[in-house]
Amino acid sequence: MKKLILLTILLSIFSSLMALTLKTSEQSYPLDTDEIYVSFPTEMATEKEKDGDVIKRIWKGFRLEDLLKKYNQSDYDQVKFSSDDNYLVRLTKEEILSHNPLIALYLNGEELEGNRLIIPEMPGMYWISDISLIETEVQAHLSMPGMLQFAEGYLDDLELIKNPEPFIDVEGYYLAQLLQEVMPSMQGQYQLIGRDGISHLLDFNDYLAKAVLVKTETGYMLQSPQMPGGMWIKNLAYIQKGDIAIIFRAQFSSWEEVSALTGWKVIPKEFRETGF
Amino acid sequence: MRYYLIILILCSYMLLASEALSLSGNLSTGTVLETKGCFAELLADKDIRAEAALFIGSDGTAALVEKSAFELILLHYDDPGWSSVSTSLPPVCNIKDIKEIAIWQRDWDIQLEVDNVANYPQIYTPFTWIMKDFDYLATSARNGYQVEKYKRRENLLNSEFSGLMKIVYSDGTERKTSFELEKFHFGGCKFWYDDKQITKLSKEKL
Repeated sequence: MKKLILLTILLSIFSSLMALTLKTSEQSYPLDTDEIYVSFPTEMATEKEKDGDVIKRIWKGFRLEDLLKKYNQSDYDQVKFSSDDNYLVRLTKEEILSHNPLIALYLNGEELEGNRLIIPEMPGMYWISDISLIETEVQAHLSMPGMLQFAEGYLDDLELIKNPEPFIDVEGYYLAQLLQEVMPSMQGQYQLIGRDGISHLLDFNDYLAKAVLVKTETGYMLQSPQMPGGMWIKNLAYIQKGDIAIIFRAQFSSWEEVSALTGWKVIPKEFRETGF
Repeated sequence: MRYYLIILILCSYMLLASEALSLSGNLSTGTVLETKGCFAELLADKDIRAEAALFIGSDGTAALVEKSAFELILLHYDDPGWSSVSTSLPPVCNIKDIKEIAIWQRDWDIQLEVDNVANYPQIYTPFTWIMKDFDYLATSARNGYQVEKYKRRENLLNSEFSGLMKIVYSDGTERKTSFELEKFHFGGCKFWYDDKQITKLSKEKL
């Protein structure tokens, strides 16, 4: 009997840890994923080539769009997905509408331990597992910065650190060394963009306080012990908080390239005059 | 003539607040605002260049505002003291009973380098020294302007200053001493130890 009670307690703790919540600007909704699956069952097939073999997978779950419609969520700009291990991805409304992602509960007929976001047209790093929170956001789009700084202008004056904690066999700088020179306050939310276009909006205290800019042959890789490895940003190209932006000059050869990456509609005259 | 004089006196009375508002941070010397009006114009009148400002309420609430929004903030004096008002910026900018406004200018020469066995030396300007005592709460946006909300916290760093430390003064001289916290003083725009301006504090290994 005692064992049964203990098992029940453990199961309830486990299920509460695996719980999925939808958060909107007004309210939080604990989700019963089985119930949503029954209402909106959807199947999706994916193929992945590995070592010359094509691996086919059948995912079953429910569409994100169906979930959002069920809770009357249409007035949003992006959706944030986060897991208990601090993994975080965001999808814009455009990406959601064009790719129609699935929240999978089953893979090849077997129930997943948690859940997984499936978006065949997007890189694997967006396929977040064990989502615990889905949050609709009204995004303040990346505004045109009023002040630009080149990262190299500050980093070149600093002494390269060997094995910046907790990483070993690498050289680099702590991100905070750069931010303390450029920003009025290091805290707050930063938009970080890699040269490949991968973009993250991250809170300094939660993700970046211990981050390191690891020097690589092609630039700097942003690594943080506060971020799962899948979120690390290769060839960090651009950082913006509020009105201030930091550009990693080596990643670009013209303002047009910066504009293409950041989505700036125009390149201000004063930036053009700065040259590249 | 007498009427003009009375009107002039009344206007002066209305414009001049009974208590001056302190400006601190990245400024050559601490200064005060004595008249109400548009924040951007009040700074321009005093020839103060600023790229951001932290409006600090006496209850510890603070708003970090960028330069582009300064012209949308009106400062006025009313019971219980100075207040900031803006109808175009996020409501967090409306702070009652402002205690102080800290000014940020980038590339500021007055700095305190703190090397207390952390992974890297921390560089504080007067503004960032003020900022370190605040916790970030949220970012709000309205009409394309972003404002960060902060809340004052306990000063955690001062308690780390103890034991044998090297002090570098602004004239380049230095000394090693057993650090006495009561001799360290931040005056709002400069850092002092024993009434001498300092630029660096580093923990000495025993």
